[in-house]
Amino acid sequence: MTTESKPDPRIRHHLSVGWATIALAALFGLGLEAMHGLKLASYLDLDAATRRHMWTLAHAHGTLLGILHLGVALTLRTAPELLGDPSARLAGRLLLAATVLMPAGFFLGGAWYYAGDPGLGILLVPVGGFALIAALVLLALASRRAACPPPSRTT
Amino acid sequence: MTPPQSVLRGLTSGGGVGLAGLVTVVLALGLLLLSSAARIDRWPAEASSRADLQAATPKLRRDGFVGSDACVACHPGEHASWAATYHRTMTQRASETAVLAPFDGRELVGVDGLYRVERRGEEFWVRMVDPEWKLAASEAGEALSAGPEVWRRVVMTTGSHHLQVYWVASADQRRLLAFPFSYLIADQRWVANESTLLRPPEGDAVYTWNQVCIQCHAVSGIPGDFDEAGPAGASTSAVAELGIACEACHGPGEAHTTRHRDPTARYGQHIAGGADPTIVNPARLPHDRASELCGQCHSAAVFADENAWRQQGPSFRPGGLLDPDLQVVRHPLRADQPWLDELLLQDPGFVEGRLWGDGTIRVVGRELSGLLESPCYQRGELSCLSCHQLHGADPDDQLAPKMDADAACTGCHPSLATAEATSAHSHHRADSAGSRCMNCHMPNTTYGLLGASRSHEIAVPEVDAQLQGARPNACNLCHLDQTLGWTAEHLRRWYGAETPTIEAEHREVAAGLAWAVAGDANQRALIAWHMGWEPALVASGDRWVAPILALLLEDPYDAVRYIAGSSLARLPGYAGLDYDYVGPPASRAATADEVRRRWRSGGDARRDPQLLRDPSGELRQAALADLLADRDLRPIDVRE
Repeated sequence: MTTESKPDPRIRHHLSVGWATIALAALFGLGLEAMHGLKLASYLDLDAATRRHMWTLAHAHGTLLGILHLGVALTLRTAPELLGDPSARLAGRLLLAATVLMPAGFFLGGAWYYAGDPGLGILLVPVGGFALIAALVLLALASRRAACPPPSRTT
Repeated sequence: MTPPQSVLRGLTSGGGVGLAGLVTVVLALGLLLLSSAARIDRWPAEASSRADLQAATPKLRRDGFVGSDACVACHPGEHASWAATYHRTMTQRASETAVLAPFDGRELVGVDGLYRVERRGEEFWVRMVDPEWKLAASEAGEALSAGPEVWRRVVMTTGSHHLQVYWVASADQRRLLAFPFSYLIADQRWVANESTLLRPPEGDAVYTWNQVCIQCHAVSGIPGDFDEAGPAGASTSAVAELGIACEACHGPGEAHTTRHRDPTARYGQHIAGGADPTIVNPARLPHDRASELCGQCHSAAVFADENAWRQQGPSFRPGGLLDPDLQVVRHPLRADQPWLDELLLQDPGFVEGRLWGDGTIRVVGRELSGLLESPCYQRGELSCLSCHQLHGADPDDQLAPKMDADAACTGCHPSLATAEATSAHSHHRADSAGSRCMNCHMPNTTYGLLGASRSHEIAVPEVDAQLQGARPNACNLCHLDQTLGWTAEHLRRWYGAETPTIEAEHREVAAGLAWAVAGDANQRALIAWHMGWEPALVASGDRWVAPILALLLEDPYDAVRYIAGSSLARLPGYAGLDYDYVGPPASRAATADEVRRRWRSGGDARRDPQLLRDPSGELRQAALADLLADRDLRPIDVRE
């Protein structure tokens, strides 16, 4: 009989953030479907096309970023050496920032908008987008290092 | 060679199911291949058909314009509300969605032969007397009969609200000529173009789109040299866009779209607010500039320099002064316009075809001409946009919410907003049609599209001493059964209005009856319409009008007959009449007899002498004949 070791707190963190984000995105998606079902003019009118577009993007980005957190958790469990890598740690923080900024930016951009342009809340999205890309690049590099450790010095 | 036993066994022992499945798959693949091949064959034909359509219709010449498609990304709601209007569909290339009439192979009887309409795939074709032969024969003063027949493809349509007109390209494709039949949309029937107009019954005419329609039924239309010899193969005319689109009212959009591709410029504008100097927002214009914007089409006007317009298009731009480009024609009684004499030399019927004798506009679609003469515009801030809105309103009249009622007036005249004040002012019950502002101050005295519409000259009702040729007054358009004298006396008593000297014969006959019988064709058309208008029937009764409308069922003007037939169909007891306003005269006479028969058996109890009744209620036929003999026979050609 073997005993499973308790997962690292960072893995648990990504798991909980991932599932929570997906749950929130699903709840928001249910809200969007309800607005379709109730034919809410403030969401479905042609004047509200920008809002509809922005909120759909908020829903989609929330879901996908939640899945990314689960992917990171799986990656950390598969390659535990990443747990000690500072750039992987930074990547996790950047991913968390993207998870907040991107859906929030799309949501706020749709909540207050100007005809065909989203509201100023949309400015959060590119910040979140850069954070996401940085996180993905850092994770990719850290994973590469973990897969190919530097050769040991011989005398 | 024999198939392997296992396969045969499989096919047979697996039952017919396996075989059927195999056959189905082979058939499906075959059908797929066939349909693909058919599509591949069809594509070049469709592309060629569309290219022909493009060549035959006016080419696009943007010159600072960008077209409505450029607006949709940033203004989806505004674009959609415009797309729902009849402005958008005023001019369309002929397509399955644009064409409303049935092109089902039927034949249409014209004054000069049989016409035929049919559909060939995506295309709409007509067989017609060669329109260019007609034009040449007309110019040569020859009779327009027995011309050669040609098949022409319908390439463009005009209208989508009341009626739709169809255009074919000339043989050299330099211009568009009207198919002689239009489609009445509500009636779902084909009729000759001439039968949709209030003009003397003189047969046929060939209309050229590039000459008149292009001015208002497209954005920034440039006619070009369509009537001169030149290379064949493509239209000489150019437009920024077909139909009345965004830039007709907002001005050319190139500078706006170029600037706002830059998000910092867009957000700068959003945050700063205020007017955007790169585009015109009519709602921000002063009332006169906003109204002139509509008046570029909705006025009786002529180009100050027609040659310049023909070569370069209109120089007027929304937000600017209309005057340098278009001169609004006012009646000589009201304004001294020295250039009018030259215009009248070229077109003697110009003023009479558009204005009543008192100077008010008589034709629909020229609303600015009425507005300009209104005190609310001259001394106030009234503009077209005070009552109308182009985005989100009912496309029927484009009226803003509540602007079809007294609220349109009480916004500026709040002292008349209460029932007591309204009643005291109108001398009618507050809840009656006589207390509705528009019924007295904007009566339905303009004619067009086979009906009457409200005058946009907001004025005080007054009685014209002349009955014939004069614009019917608002009071007698409800009180059709009362005389001019009766009206003049009420206006004197209630408002202190000066009483005109009314001829004795007009003091004795109800004005509505007199206009319907002895008036000119325009008056007859308006009265026929009012004889089916509910407020008039409530005020003056609905029984007595039937024999008068019966008389108008046999009017020499097609349009008058159409309106009389429509009004009769709305009267109780006259639905289901078998009446065709362009049918054989004998058939129309039979319907008129049937109306009289129903009227006699309908229990009309009116005995009023002004309705030409004898004490038993019968119409005094001799008096009616005298009135008819006195009919104003001057030809009326209302220039719609």
